[in-house]
Amino acid sequence: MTNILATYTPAETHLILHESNAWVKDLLKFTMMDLVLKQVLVTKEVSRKPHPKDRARLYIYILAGKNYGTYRPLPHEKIFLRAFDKSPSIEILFRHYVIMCVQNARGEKHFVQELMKAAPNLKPLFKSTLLGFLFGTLKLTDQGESIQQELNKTIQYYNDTLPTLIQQDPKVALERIVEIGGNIFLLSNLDFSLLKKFDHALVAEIQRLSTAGKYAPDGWTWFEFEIYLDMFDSVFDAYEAAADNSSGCDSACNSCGGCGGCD
Amino acid sequence: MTPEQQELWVNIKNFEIDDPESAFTFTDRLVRENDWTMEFAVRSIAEYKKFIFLICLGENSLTPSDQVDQVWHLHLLYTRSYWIEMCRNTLGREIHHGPTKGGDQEKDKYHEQYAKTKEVYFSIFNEQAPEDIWPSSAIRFGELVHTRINRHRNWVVAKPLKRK
Repeated sequence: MTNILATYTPAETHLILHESNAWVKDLLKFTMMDLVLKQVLVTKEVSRKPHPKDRARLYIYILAGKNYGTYRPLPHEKIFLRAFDKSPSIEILFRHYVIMCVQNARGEKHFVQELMKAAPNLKPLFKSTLLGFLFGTLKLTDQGESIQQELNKTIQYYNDTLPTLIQQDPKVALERIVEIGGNIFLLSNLDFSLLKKFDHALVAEIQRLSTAGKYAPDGWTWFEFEIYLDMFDSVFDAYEAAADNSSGCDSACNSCGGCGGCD
Repeated sequence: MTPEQQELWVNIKNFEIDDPESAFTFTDRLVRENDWTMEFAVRSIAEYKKFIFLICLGENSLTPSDQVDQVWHLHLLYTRSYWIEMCRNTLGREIHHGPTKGGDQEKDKYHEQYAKTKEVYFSIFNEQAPEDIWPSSAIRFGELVHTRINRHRNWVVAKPLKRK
């Protein structure tokens, strides 16, 4: 039997579960992390000292991953790959990459209504209403409600069983994780530190199980994902806050600009 | 590319203008001052690095697109990053920026150099320079009427698109 979570990307699952209450921040974040998990994107960390007197700084980049060339993105995933379509070898700082995706999403209404709902597997699940067209609100069809119930049950099942399973039978737990892919980010009961203990086993097992090459991450750790999820939130929040305050930030030499003087 | 050129290109590619801990980075400023998207700014910086590499090959006088030139201008303001970290520590040479002296002769010269730059780009990188960052000569030299505008006091309204 096909696991229903395997049918949807984490952003799609999140949208079906939360409808109009799904935040665009979460939808973007889950999409990005899912693409990293699928190795369509990869992260690269570099420690540099711009000047001998400076302390070392950590630079985190997003690059096209080894599955980028063969992956067929869904409409809502395309905005995450556009820069690499135009400049395949580009390496983008994490912070700039998040801002780029937020800009490319062109707001919650566009991202949800025009990109996510346009996918063939989501279209029959949502009604097309005037309110939706005008204000971006979402309403599930009967089929959508039935899928929502099933997804809720499956997520609940994973939330209830996976933490114990990881402790008692890591091998089976890993098979379950591989099955649901990026939807693992949606599990509320999952303690990432628990997965951290199994980092090496996870990598080896996932590589062994992923014969189709769908999930074959090289050297990633759950610890990194946890950091990236938090980093995404802080970049997004800072960008939104700056956008909200932009009316008072037009001067050329305010707190965030101007000349830093000479050495 | 020779092995030496390859090494230099990797060094330039890995050279980072931005400070990841800065709340307002070089790229943020580039976005704000040119009203670009983040994607366009990030790609323009990548093209700027390619242009700097082509200059280092030193075989031809080269002319950047206006987009690449804007990255260059802004980078020149970050004097430590430009002169110390890039020119001295990464390239091992100084690269000066020379604005046009004006006049028809200069115009012809830059037209020619711009076309030559795109040819060299293709021969070195084995791909065409992206049209949105390296537009045609007609656009490169025909649409440059830029003015610094105080947007606190003025509105900027686009003209209806010119149709041929």
